[in-house]
Formats: sequence, structure tokens, C-alpha cells
Amino acid sequence: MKTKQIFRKLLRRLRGEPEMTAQMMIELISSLEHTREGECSCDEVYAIADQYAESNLSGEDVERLKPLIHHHMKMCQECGEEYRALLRVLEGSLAN
Amino acid sequence: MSKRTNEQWLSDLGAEGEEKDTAIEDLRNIIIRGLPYALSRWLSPSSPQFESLTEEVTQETLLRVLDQMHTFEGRSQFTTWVHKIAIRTALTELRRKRWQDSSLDEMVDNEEIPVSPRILEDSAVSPEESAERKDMLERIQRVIDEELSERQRRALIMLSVQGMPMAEAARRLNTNRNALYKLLHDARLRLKQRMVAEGLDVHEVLGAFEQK
Repeated sequence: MKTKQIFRKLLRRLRGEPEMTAQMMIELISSLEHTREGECSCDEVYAIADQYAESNLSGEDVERLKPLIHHHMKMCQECGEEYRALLRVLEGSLAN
Repeated sequence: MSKRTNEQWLSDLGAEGEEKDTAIEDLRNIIIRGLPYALSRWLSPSSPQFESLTEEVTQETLLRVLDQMHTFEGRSQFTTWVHKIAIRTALTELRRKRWQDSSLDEMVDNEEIPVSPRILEDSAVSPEESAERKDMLERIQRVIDEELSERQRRALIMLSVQGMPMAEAARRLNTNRNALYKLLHDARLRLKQRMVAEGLDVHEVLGAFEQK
């Protein structure tokens, strides 16, 4: 291990900061499988989420038409949660 | 309540007097009707928290809508755009409250964050497989130590180990949610490239740690 890394590790211990667990390292490696060079940002996804949800509900193949948005929803837990919540609201309004 | 077109919503909300008041009241009812669906995975409408959260979120959403309606581009129904804002507001608040409560519980229980590599203690694997896992873990640990910046490491610990919502982690790192995602994306890309350079295959690594 390089001196810089050893120093950083010692500093973290002195500050009482938690280290990465083995489980977390495996989860991190698992997320690399779907990591791409050019991913959308949360802001880009948020800007289009309303239009994307309506297109999805009208039966358009949004996964094929907007693959980067679809990919971000899978990679970013919070954006994915918000999008699914929006779908539930729109489906609920359609049902009433 | 009359159904409005996007143009009518913008015109009525931008007007003065009764027209505006009626439009705000109609929009308030639309937000309130949507929230039980939005929050159904987290909070039941019969929960004691629900009413106060709904009131708080509705007020905040209305303020944001009035403040940002000039940015609405008309690519969806106006009400869908409003629901999107309400959901972001509601879930950001809900995540913050949940995380605060769970952090307090942990303080009361005095639970420590598990640092022992329990993954190595799988009784179903042979000593050879266990040694292979240990070796693999050490290599991954080295790659992570060498590739991630201190800021990237802190962000990962906050989100994965401490279960912090992105908004809170971003606040502590003096940034915003968008930049935080980018920071983590850069970290993943660096790790992926380094794994390739090290001859470490993601599927092989995951395969070695599959539960027997």
C-alpha cells in the first residue's frame, strides 16, 4: 500500500470514521456491471421525468426510445423511487 | 372543479384575485389526492404522520410551483409536472425524517457499524474458497484504496454504510444531489477501468462471493 493510502487510513481511524464493509465492497463491484461512460445526471432525468412517465403510460417503448433515462432510473435509487411514485399517482388519477 | 388546459393553468395561476385563488385551491386538491399514491410504499394514509406531512408538502409544492411555473415547458400535462414536484418534496422530507429517526435509534441501541468481513465466514464454503475470497477482497480493497478520492469514499460510506439520503449526504459534502451522483459515477468509472487493468472480472468477483 502506498504511503498516501496508509496515511489516509490512519487519519480515518483517528477520526473514528467507519471503514467500508466487505458487503459494501461487493455491492460496489456489483454496480460496476451496469456502469457506463456517459450516464445521465439526476437533473437531466428530473427535467424529463413527467414527460417520460406520460409516454410510458401511453404505451410508448420508453426503454428503447430513451435508454439513458431508463438506465439512470436503475442506477439511481432515489430517482427510480420518485419515478415509480409518479407512475402510481398518474395510474391512480386515471383509475378515478 | 373544472378541467384546465396547460395554458389555462398558467393563465389562472398568473392572474390576480379570485381566478388565482380558485386555481391555487384546485391545485392544492390535486396535490392532496395524488400524495396517498405517491407515498403508498412508505406511509399509510391512516398513519399519524401522514396528515402533517401532506399539509407541509402541499404548502411547499404550491410555493415551488408558483415560483417555477415560468420554467414549465409544456412537454407534459401541467398537473403531471406539479405531481413531480410534490413527489420530490415529499420523498426528500420523508427520507430525511426516516434517516434522522433511525440514526437516533442507533444511538439509543449503541449499535456499531459492522466492520467484520462476515462474507468470509460462510460455513458452506471450503477452506480453499474462503482463502480465494479473502485474497479477492484484499485485491478489491487495494483497488478501492488507491482509486477513490477521500471525498468519493466519504460519499459512499454515507450512502451505503450509514444509509443517509442523497440530499443529506450532499449537504454534508457541501454540494447538491446532482453533483453527488456525478461524484459517485466518476468513482464507479475509475474502479471499473482499474479492475480491467488489474485483470479482475466483475462477474468472476461476484461469482466468488455467491452464497452457497
